[in-house]
Amino acid sequence: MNDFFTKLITILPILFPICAGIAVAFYERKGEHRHSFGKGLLISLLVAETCLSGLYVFFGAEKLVIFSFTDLISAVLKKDLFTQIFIVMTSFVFLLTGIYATDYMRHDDSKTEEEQKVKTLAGKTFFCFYLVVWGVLVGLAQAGNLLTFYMFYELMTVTSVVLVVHDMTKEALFAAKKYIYYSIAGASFALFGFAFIAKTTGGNLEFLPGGSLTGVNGENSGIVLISVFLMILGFGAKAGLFPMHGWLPSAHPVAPAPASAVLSSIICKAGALGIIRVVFFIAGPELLRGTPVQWAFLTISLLTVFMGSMLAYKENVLKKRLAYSTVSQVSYILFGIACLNPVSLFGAVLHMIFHACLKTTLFLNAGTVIYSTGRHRCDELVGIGNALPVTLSTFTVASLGLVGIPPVCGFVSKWYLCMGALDMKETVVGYIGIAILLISALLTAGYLLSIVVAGFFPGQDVKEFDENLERSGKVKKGMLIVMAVLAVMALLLGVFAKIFYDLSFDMIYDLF
Amino acid sequence: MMDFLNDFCSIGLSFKCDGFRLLYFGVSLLVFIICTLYAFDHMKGGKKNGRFWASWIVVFLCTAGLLFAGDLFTCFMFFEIMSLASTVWVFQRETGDSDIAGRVYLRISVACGMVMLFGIFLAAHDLGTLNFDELINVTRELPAEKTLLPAVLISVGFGAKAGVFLLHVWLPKAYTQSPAPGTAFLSAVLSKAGIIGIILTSSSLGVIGNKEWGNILLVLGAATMFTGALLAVFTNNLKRTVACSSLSQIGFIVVGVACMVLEPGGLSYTGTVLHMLNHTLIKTALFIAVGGIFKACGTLDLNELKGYGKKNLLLMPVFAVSGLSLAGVPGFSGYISKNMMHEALDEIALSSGLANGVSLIFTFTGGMTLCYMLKLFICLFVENGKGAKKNAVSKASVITALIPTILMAVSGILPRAFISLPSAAKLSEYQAATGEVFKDAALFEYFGAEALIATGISLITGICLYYICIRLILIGRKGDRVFYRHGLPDWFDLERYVYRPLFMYFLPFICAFAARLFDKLTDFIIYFFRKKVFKPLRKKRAATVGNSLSFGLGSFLDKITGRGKKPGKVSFVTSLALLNEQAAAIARMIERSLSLSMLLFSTGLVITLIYMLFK
Repeated sequence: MNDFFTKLITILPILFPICAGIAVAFYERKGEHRHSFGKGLLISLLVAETCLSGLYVFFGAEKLVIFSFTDLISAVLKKDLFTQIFIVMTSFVFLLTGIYATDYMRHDDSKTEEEQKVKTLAGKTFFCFYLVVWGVLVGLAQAGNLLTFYMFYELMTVTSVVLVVHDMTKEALFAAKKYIYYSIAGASFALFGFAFIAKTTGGNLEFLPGGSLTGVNGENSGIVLISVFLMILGFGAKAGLFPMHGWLPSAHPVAPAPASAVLSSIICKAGALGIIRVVFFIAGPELLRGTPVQWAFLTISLLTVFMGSMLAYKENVLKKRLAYSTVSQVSYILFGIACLNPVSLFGAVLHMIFHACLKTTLFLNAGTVIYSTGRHRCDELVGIGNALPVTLSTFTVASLGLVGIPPVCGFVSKWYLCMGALDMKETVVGYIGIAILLISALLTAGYLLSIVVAGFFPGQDVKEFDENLERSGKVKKGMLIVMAVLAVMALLLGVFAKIFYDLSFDMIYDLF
Repeated sequence: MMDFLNDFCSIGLSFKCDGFRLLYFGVSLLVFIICTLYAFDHMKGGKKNGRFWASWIVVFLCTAGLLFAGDLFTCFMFFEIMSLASTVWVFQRETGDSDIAGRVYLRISVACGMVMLFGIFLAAHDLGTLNFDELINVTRELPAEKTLLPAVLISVGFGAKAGVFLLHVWLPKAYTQSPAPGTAFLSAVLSKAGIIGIILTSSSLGVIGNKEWGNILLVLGAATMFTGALLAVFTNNLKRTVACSSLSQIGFIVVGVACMVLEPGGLSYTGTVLHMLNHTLIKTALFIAVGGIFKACGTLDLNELKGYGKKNLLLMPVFAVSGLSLAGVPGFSGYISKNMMHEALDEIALSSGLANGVSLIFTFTGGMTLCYMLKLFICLFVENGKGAKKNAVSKASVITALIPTILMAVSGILPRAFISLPSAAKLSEYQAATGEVFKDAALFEYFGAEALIATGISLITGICLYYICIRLILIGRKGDRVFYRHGLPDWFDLERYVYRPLFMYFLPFICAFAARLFDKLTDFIIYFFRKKVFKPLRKKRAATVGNSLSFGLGSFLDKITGRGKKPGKVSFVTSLALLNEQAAAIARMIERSLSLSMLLFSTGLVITLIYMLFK
């Protein structure tokens, strides 16, 4: 009985949201209270899934084999530190973004009944796939070997496209196509590496701390290294790593704000999780240390850090700016992984969590601005602080976090990343890395704080913002509360970051 | 509670207290109270004051945190928050100029903060601790070369807030633009916070006594004091004169800090700390007075303010005492502090040519100080002009400006007590780093012949400079009208003509160009392949209906079934040709799309995989 219970709470966080999503798609209710009823239902689903995830994190099975044909071809679920971190992060972001979305996705401004019908359907589709993606992401985090991981990874790509394509405009369709192409190309790189590694080493590619490759010797180490690099590049496509980051700036601006938030804060991190799995659970850090693969990985991650923030600095469309910012920030994480030492990996993990919190805040803020004023471009936001004071305040907190001003959380992760970078034997690389991270932080200040400054201090000659905001939608209370909660979380996570250290540093240290 | 502090941001905060910190906190608190009292009057009737008051309190709390910080991280955190919060003051008025000033201030604060952070990273990693007391123990055994880099980097951040040369460009603009209480606090306390930061860093990172570091500070200090004085002499704006005077005095203090590094001991320490105290009081009084004048008249142009003081005689002591003290006239507090620093400098000059040169600049700039203070005094209280008709300055402003003035005057009258202040309030880090008991600075003969001669030279230079620079150069005559020109040409603006084009336009342009190349690389490759490699095949013009296969097959079937001849039935030739056409169209579509290549690629991979798995 107890065994059955453990199995149940292991599987349920994956299955429940998928079933719930499908149920949402067929849900129909007419009458006066249908909006508030639907909203209540959605929120209760979100909360239920969060509780299930929590149950899993505490009481889930350590290892569960779903089926197994051979050692290699089997579906295995496992629970370790990264699973727990990723699931907690996912539930946190999905829950808050979901609550925000119940307000954001509701459109009261449709004129005809036909329009209303289309919009309702679109909203339903959104929530359906929102829930399904959540389930898939939980599965992704639980995956215990490379094949399972790969399966959930592809599922995630396919289901999350629907979130991108939501508006069904020409740009959205184009962006969705681009997203699919880049992701599938990345996944096929990964598959390539997967196949070669499986063939050369004969390992079963289970995720084991410290690496699961056994048959590596002088003869085949070259091909193994190349395969690992291909897998890094492949999973890097999702994380916005340099050669294949192109989908991010296209997909984010066209997706609705909650979808962008989720894409940027969780789905990009799934790529980073993939790389962590490959580097620390398949190949093992010892295999890669000092090899050309490490140098190449370091170089492209630093290049991406710089490129992303530079382009964000030059970008005028708000959500595109944030998308480029994601490109740069996720590469901070990859840089931390590439340094291959415990401190920097701990920094990377922290940055994964903190960036999720901060970027969600920023995207939801951007969403609120678009929702209530219909403005997309940064130069149109002069004086926005008068119209949306709470929104811009939370934006300010998140910006400061991303720049790395203590005590907001971004600082702490940057601290460990840089300490880790200095821990490397080649100190010059560490110095260059830190210099680039700091230049990028400076650019981050340039592209985020400039919005804050223009928003709060418009100058006297600028016309005051219209009191009745242009579109019908006054900002709803639910949205404000979610943003405020996120901003407060950003502060608290920074102040109490020591908890993460106590909980996870030993386990991260054991990977080496 | 202790756990909370130790775990804060997982790095930990720590605080400590010693005589110097208490002394400076007391002074800051005094200035804060005076400025707050004045701010109630000054901000009255302004718009959006909420944000000013919020940042006002935050800045003060952060100043306190910074002063009592026991390690570099605590210092850094409060310093950054203080910088950001004080930006609100500069932006507060929301005019075009204040926007530029605020942006410059913000940019320099953030950029130098990042440089400082780099230094802190290095210190934390290489030395293993950030706690001041532990750092002193760690660095005592290390050669100074190892700690010089972090010390320089950290000092860049603090130096920016103090306004050290090359990082000073924000200072004249921001001081001129922010509301008077803000300027007073910026100049009186925040700039000193920067200086204290430099002293703390130098002491704890073990670069006290390091020649290179001392010489860097010496040169920068000399450059700062001269630039500041030059800007102050050649301007016709009241507040800008006072602001640039601040810059110049910071230069004096930095020279004092350089002396503390090169010639550690009681003399340089006492001189520097006294000058800091002095300057704090002077600038509080002056900026409040200037703010009051601006509030009453709505202008800061000296031409408009000629003779303003004749109706507001209570302002006279403020300007007189601060001017005389700044210029270092015997009997005023500035005389003591300046001469102590000068004496320390002269001791270094015995063995260093550089210090000799700086000593000369020191004397000369002292003269310039007298020159610009004379300019203000004569304009406000001696000359006749439009100023006499303007509104009287508010009582609150006069009273709050008089409090620090009285304190200043008292400290000038009681030099013994004044001098003993720093030796009673020692900075524990500096004392630990120098490792020696301070020799009693009270032994300093402040009415010694040497000091008097140096002061005399400086004062005579000042009066000569006033005649040459102000009377002959700055003052223009047009018929009967006598007016103050804006003395320096427009291009004399390092920020606007060098930094902004370089850091805001040129470098971002180059970098963005490079970044865009990388950004578009993959997209370009895909585009290229779609246009060139996967381009649509050229259509072949069919001579007959369908191709040969469909024609042959069709006619064969036609012959068997005899369809071709029956009316009302479509012949097989035509229908097969149609099918063929459709198939070709679909094939073309697939051929053109990238998805085919993807599909083929993946198919190949899957086949490879299956082959390898089951071989």
